[in-house]
Amino acid sequence: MTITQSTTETSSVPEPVVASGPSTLKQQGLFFAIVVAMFLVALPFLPQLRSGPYLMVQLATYSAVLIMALGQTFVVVQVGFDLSTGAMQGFVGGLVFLFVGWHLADGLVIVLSLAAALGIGVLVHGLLIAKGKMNFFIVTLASFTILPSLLRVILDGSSKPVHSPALDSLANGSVLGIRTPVIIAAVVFGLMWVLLNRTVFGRNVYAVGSNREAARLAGVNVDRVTMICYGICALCAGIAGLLLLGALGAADPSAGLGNEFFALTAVLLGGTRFSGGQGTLLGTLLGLLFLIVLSNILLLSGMPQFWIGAVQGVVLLIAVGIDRARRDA
Amino acid sequence: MPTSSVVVTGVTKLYGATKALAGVDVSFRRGVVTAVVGANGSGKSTLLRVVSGLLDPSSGQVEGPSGRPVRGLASAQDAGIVLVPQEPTLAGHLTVWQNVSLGRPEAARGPFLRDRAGRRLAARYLEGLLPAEVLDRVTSTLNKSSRQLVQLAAAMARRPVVLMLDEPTAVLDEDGVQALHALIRRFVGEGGTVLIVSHRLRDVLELADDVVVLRNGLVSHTGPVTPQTEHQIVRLLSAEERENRPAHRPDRGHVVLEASGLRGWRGLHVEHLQVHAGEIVGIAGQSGSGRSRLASVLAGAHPAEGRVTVDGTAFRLGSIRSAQAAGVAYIPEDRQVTAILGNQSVAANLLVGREDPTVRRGPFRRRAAEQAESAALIDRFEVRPRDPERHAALLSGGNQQKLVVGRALSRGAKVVIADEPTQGVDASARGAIHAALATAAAGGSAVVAVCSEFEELFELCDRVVVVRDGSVVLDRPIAQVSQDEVLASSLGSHLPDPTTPTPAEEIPS
Repeated sequence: MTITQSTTETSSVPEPVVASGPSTLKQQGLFFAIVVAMFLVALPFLPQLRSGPYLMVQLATYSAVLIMALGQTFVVVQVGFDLSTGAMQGFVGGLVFLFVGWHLADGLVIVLSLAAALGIGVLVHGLLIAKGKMNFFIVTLASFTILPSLLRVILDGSSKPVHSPALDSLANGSVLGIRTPVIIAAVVFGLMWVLLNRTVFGRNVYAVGSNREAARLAGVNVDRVTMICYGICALCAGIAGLLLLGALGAADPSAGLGNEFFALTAVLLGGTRFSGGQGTLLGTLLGLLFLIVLSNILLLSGMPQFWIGAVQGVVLLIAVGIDRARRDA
Repeated sequence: MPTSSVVVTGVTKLYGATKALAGVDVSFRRGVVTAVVGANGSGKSTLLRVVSGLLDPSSGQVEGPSGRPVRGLASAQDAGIVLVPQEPTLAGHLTVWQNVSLGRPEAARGPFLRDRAGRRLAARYLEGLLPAEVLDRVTSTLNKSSRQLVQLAAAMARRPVVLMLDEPTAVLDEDGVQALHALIRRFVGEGGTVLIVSHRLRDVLELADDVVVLRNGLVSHTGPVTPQTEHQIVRLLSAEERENRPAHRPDRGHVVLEASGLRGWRGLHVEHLQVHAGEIVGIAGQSGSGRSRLASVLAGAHPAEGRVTVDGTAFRLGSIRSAQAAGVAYIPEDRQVTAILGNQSVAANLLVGREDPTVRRGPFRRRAAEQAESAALIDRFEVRPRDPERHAALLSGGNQQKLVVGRALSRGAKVVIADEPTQGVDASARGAIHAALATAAAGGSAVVAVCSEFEELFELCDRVVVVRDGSVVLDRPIAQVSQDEVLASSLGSHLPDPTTPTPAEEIPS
């Protein structure tokens, strides 16, 4: 079976399987309509969805994951995946615990923690993958096991309360009735959107993802693009880590674990492809909103929590399967 | 026995609103070579893919040799229809014999592979195409011409009834072309049917018995090849090319590009090379001679020892960005792999790597300026369709190459390095690309073009540099050299007397 299949590929010309720009926009419009329709259909049956404060809590809860997913989008578009974002989210909590223990000013704690995340992203992940030509999966898998281990060392294995007024107000405050994590996520989204859509760097991210060698020969500094993308991804995970720590009020040895795959699910649902060169931040946002609406509807209508992951996985397969079938048609 | 092997009835193929095929009725005779020719985007590749079952037609029908309709890859394979694509698509990490015998029932017993039988099978089909030594080579270590021959052997191992070849000579060197011709004649002699799509009219018409001319997705002419039809078709398709022929260029100027003491990979060994402003220097040589390597080193794409200067300023070898900063533009070989951003727009393909203030302000893109610039480049290089948002993968090969050329020539480069600038493009795109390179030279650029085709070498270039085993073995103005001398020096054989050229066939290889 496999053998016959490879022969077929051996002598077939690959058909162009790409859509042009506007239809991607159209697809996003359709996706948005689906999310809104799901919400509206559920509205009469689930009174909680009509409660503004409830919805705000939901948005605030998922803001950190959104920020992680935005960073991950950069990495996936340029071809790659950062397996360690959830680990990084937890690890940054450990750093904050450490820095607060040294009685550093809150502002300095935030700057140092984010700088550490950025440094790991650029100088460890980016450098080893771009310059060291190591496989992205292996490099970030290493961080995926190293960072939680270091976190446990720092925390001595147990959850430690962290008192930081600045982080507390970042994670739990609100401005004009809008929770601060939502505002932070919106600001990060705006900055990232400009970076990806309005700068030369952003276009280079797509070029590298589309055809790395062609981008190199066209004069793009492809290694720098890759390093910056892993930096952005780790930095976003760091910001998500600060929000998580603020929300918990403690640094926890298992904080963040598993979030990398939840964020990745949102990225892929949003139309970003592992093959690279395609994907948008708006798609990632819609992918996450879809997951939030879906899991809320299921939980509020009484489905046991244990089932949520199974449903999300099946939805991912269906969505990517539909996409695949449309491209083959 | 019916005389028709494949019958195409009322076939259309739509891509969105674009009609690639607008109702094609044609039949291909058994035991005959049919050339399918036509300009850029005339639908010839689409027709080939429909017949081979790779594409389903939007309407209409294809009948195979047995008279049964063909729809989909599996039924085409059952009917013995085999397509050899333009770009080799082999499993690079497998050996040559594994690739040739891949999927052949003779090479397996149940679920188990029979390696010796597979190797024997491959040896049989490679005979006459490549020397037996390559059987155990890892396929990716072969050059492109040899890979294409492996692909051909793999196709023959499937015992086709109808063999379809898409631009078969595009990547083949001269030896490979001879081997291909012999194989086609033998196959047709045994009753096989051959369809060839090619832009190399002279090549293909020499081989073909019948010709089908496509125009805008319709058959505009069909019939046997006679000296008259050949003349008509050549005239029809090269009209555009002739219009684009550049005026004669002025005399060459000062030295722009200078290379000295180059040493590098695979025995690259070039003491001295100069290219002047306004000059087009053709690099010739057998495939594997180092001609491409020399070009890529001159473009900064691959590292080497030595020194390369542009207007006296050296750039860092192996740094494409340093070379670009010094004023070098590069048109790489093998556009699918090294030049085209398939899932990006035409505009992105034209503008990628551009960092000049025309299109950017600090780190930001100037979007209005980008739109104006890409529209201007689409006009200047005649990219069709005129849609800056269309994905590059949806363009024909010729138009993709125009994107690559446009990208390189839009940077006001002092030096243009073009590696096989018209590989696998049709006559009209070829004319447009030649004209663009000539215009660049006329504007004072120094142009270096790797040409594996003699026709292109003598048509385009002012001077020829022949590379053999990594070294320059001949460097002479084009007016003072014959095709046979170029061939002889690239093969390393000596002509008895340079003033009376020997016919190419008699030169031992």
